[in-house]
Amino acid sequence: MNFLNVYRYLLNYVTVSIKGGFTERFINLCNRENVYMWNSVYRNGELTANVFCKDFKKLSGIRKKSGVKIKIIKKCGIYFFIRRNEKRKILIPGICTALLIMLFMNNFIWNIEVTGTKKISPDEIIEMLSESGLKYGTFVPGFDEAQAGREAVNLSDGKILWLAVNIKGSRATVEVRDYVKQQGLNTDNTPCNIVANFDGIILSAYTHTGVQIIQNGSAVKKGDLIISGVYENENGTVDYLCADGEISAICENELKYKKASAKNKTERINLKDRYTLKLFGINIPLFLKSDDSLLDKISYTEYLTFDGYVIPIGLEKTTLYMSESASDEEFKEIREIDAFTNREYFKFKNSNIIKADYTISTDKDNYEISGKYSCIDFIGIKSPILKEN
Amino acid sequence: MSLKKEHKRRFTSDFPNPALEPMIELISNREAVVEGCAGIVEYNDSSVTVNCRKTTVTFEGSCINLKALSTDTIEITGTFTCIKFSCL
Repeated sequence: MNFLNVYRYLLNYVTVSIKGGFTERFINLCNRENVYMWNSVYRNGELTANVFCKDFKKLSGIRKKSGVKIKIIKKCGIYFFIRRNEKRKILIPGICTALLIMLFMNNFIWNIEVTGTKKISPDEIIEMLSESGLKYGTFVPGFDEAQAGREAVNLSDGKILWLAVNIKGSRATVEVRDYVKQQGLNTDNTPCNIVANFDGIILSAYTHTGVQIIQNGSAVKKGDLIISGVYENENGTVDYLCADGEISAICENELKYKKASAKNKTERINLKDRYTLKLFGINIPLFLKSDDSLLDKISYTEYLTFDGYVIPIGLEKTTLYMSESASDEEFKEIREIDAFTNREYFKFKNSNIIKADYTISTDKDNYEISGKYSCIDFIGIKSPILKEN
Repeated sequence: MSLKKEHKRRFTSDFPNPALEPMIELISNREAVVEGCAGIVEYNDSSVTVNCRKTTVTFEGSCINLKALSTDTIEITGTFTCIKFSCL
């Protein structure tokens, strides 16, 4: 529903059916006489269109000129609605009262949505915001969103970098950015060497500070010196530097991953959907109570909007589902996905994998994934120079 | 011919004047807004022909509706399969 439809409804309009004669001429004449027509549909030799009531009188002249027959199909608008329900004396005041209550209640916060955070749970942020004044039922006019945001950031003890509260209708959208520790410039000038963190073959080495000991293509073992922080001057004196550089190497890594078979982690069987009416923060269940504590749930809430303006009336759909055991073949697939996830996101998150071979073995209770990965990774690690040595 | 007249002739012949020419705005094949139209020539179940003074534009397809009409603009919705131009 948008404002244009409401405007048309308030001005009252009729849906007319136009038959026979010259419908094209009728449309053109309406256009010339400034008769606004919309949603004109031509089906089976009949033109159906909407016209405002104030323009309907003009159609009589046009009808004669174009030789068409006009018939009113439907009357829409506030006037017709009141006329139809004249005898129901409570209905109109009831609707007006409901609208006024809804408009008044729209001045309160009934829904808070938190986005953009991974480290802090939305409940925790809502709690912080409630301390800074933004909570369910807060009166919106005169509420300082920026101040509430600033106070919530202060209350977060440095966990939140930035927080913004946007209020639209009765919904508050909270945009959060987590604090990420910046890896600034290394100001620590403690003399150090760069040594190999693991076994591998040097692919490329860019020395920023220090003396490169091992050349490209050389094999190194864990702990081997790659860039030395000891620099010998021409006059024989020695400078101790903080060696720095980027060394990438091809390395072989072995991965072993053992996990207990989780037989309940398989396919989902949807049992039933349940609906809950959310009215001004109150939850009204639209189902009979039953014991479903053993079932898993997924909930989704949709709020009523009016031209992008959120109204505090919504419907929550809760899908109850049951997990069911799967066969060994089905488990295999899940395990492979698990292995992939583990490989990609756990151990070799920042590595460039060039070759991967892995096998999956299972027994009664566990499954084990063992694999070999060839990947390109940064091999260098700083090791402080002990001057006694 | 003077330089000014020659320039005017060239300019008017090469570039269409947006104030005089019809402008058609298409949103996929679902909606079309024709500005600078002078009326409807033909309208039936599967096509609508719009008079754009110098040319006529025919929109063929299914579910052709005239969503809104004003003195020089027409908004057509439906699923267009073909758009034809013909000079008057």
